[in-house]
Amino acid sequence: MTKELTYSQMLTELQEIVDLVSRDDCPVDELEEKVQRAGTLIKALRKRLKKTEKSVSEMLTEIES
Amino acid sequence: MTGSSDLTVLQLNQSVKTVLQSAYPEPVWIRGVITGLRRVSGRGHTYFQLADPSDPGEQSPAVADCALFAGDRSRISLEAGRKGKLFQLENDTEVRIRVSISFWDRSGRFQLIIKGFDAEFAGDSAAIHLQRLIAYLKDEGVLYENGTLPLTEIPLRIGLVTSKGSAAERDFVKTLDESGYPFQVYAAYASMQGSSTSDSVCNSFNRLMLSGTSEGLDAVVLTRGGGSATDLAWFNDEKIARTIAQLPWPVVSGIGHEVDTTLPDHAAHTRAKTPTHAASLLVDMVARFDDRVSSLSNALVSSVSPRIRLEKLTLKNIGNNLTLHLASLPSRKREVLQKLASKLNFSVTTKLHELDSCISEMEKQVEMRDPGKMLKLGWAVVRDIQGIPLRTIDAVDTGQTVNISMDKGSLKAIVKEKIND
Repeated sequence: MTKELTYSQMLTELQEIVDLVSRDDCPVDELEEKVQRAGTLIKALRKRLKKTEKSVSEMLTEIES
Repeated sequence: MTGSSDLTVLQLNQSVKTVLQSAYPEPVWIRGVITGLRRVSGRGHTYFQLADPSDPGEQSPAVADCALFAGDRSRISLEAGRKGKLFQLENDTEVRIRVSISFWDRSGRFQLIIKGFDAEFAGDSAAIHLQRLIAYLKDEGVLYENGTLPLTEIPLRIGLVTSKGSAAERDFVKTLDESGYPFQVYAAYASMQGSSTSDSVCNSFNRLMLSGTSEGLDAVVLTRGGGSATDLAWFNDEKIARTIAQLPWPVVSGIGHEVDTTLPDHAAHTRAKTPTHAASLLVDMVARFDDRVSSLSNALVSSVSPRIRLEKLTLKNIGNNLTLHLASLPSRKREVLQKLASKLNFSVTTKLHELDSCISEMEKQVEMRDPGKMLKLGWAVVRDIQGIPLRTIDAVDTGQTVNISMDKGSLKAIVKEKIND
């Protein structure tokens, strides 16, 4: 069973992809694959941020009440 | 050698009788101690010797035969009764009697015929006898022995020597019972009047000594109710005093009424006036102890109470302060918490925005390199027939077939000419 990646791990991977695709010598075939993976990571990272924001908001609401 | 002037025995006796009668024409008062008392049954006459008093154990200096005839006895008893006194003759008692001097000329026997009896003196005589006995026993130390024994402050286990079922027993036990204190009474009954009194009382003391209870007794009470001086005189026997002196427990003596004094009263540790008074003395002792314990207890409580009150007050104040503190605590804590929460909210939101911006930035960078997007913008990718990207013109030969990927599809083309920049 694949272990879910942490936010930090996903961010590191995304950064590596950004670095890779920014290089001129990045192969076009690899580029396509990497861009797709980057899209997936960005979506997952945003989802994680949303979830964190929601949790924090709920918790603060609870404290204030 | 004989003479006409010689007297016969009878003549001498008659002469002596005449001299005596002329010397003592009327009866005279005489005092002495009765000894050898005997009654001749049937005729009702009484005979004894009257002796001058002597110290115990010593022979009397002089004695005289006495006779009380039945007729005189009835008359003397009646006279004493009219005065509220009891006419009674007992051995070893000193009496004052009125006698006529009789001399029997035929036997030459000298005898005192009793004609009167001083009932007042009889009482005084008994008192003198008692005083002599007291002085004598004091000299020996007998009367001080029992008094030296310690009497506990709480005498609750009591030996009782008295007559069974007597008023004295009832009064004594009732007084103890009514006190409410847990007295325990161990009775050894005795005959408390008549000639057997002394032996019976001493036997009762001995029975208490031999019983299993003797060691645990706090005191022994010898008591009887009131009676005539003669009744109570039975207690004036040195045997009782000597027995009391040898007992291991303090003796409380309560014999007769308040005015009566008997030898055991002097030999005992404590003298009580009556049976009730004997019980009261014991009850009072226990009550005094009880009171002392109570007052000590009260003193203790009153000395400690202010301190306890102070401590209670201090504790209460601390409690109140704590309550106030605790009551205000949630609101103060809530304020702190809310501030922290707001700060956290701000920090988190800021951080999330930063992260989001970062992701957006990276997204842009990735998008810039997205081949799909580049094709849409009009860029194309040239590959050889094996699909290997041809990145420079140097990698292509004239006449070579190549694949050109464009938006919405690709072209298969043959290179006609190479034009260098």
